[in-house]
Amino acid sequence: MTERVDAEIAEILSLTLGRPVAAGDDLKRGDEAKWDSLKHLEIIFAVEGAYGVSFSPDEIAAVTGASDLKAKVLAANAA
Amino acid sequence: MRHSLRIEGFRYGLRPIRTEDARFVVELRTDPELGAYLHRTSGRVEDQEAWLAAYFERAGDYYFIVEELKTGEPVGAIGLYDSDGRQAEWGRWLIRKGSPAAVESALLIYRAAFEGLGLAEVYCRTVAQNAKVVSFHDSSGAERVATLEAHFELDGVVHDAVEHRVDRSRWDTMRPKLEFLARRLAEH
Repeated sequence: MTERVDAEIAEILSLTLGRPVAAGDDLKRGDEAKWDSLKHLEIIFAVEGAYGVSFSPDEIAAVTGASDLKAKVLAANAA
Repeated sequence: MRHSLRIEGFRYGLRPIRTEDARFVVELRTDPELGAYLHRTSGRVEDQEAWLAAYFERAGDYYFIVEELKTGEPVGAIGLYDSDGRQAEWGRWLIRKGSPAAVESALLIYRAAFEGLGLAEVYCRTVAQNAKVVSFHDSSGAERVATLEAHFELDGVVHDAVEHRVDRSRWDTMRPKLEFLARRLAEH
């Protein structure tokens, strides 16, 4: 499950940011110039659509990188 | 200038700034992260009130507070200025950290420009090093038209500016994406 989520989140980030992102790469929003506030929403909504999860507004603002996206997906699947 | 333009969106709205917003603006502008690419602010509320008093008398300048519609809570500030009736610059864009209002506030300032004021074109000049905001304008679909060398001087340091422009035709193509994202956010 974890490896699949890593790969799928990497794919979402690659498509949104327009550059290759490796599975498991803990890309940080603060380190990625193209991860702007508009792309942030695109990434969040893509993850929601892919996994049927829902981020609260506070959670949307709190996402700082790929690891937070993965944690949200895994927590939802564990529940 | 004193104006009465209000624009309501899905979750956020723009309302005219008031003198009593001075403290909030100072909080935004003196935040080291938010204010990194702004002209230095004294940090004194009285100075901001004096700046607003001059602003109220300045034609072609529309300064707004971004507020959450449900609660009226201010979450940011944004402005349209140097308007000649055909075009204006937009900027003074500051959104409180932790608020997801950036995208909808941009949508609202474009609506204010094109629907509210009937402008034909708006432009935005961003410090070139402010990569996130430059990227935002690129992502939104605004046209990157120029790099203005040594356009800004902040704390004695000269910076280039990246200029983006949006005319009515381009706005028609940009609007659906911004509206989609703002609407989706409001549904949360």
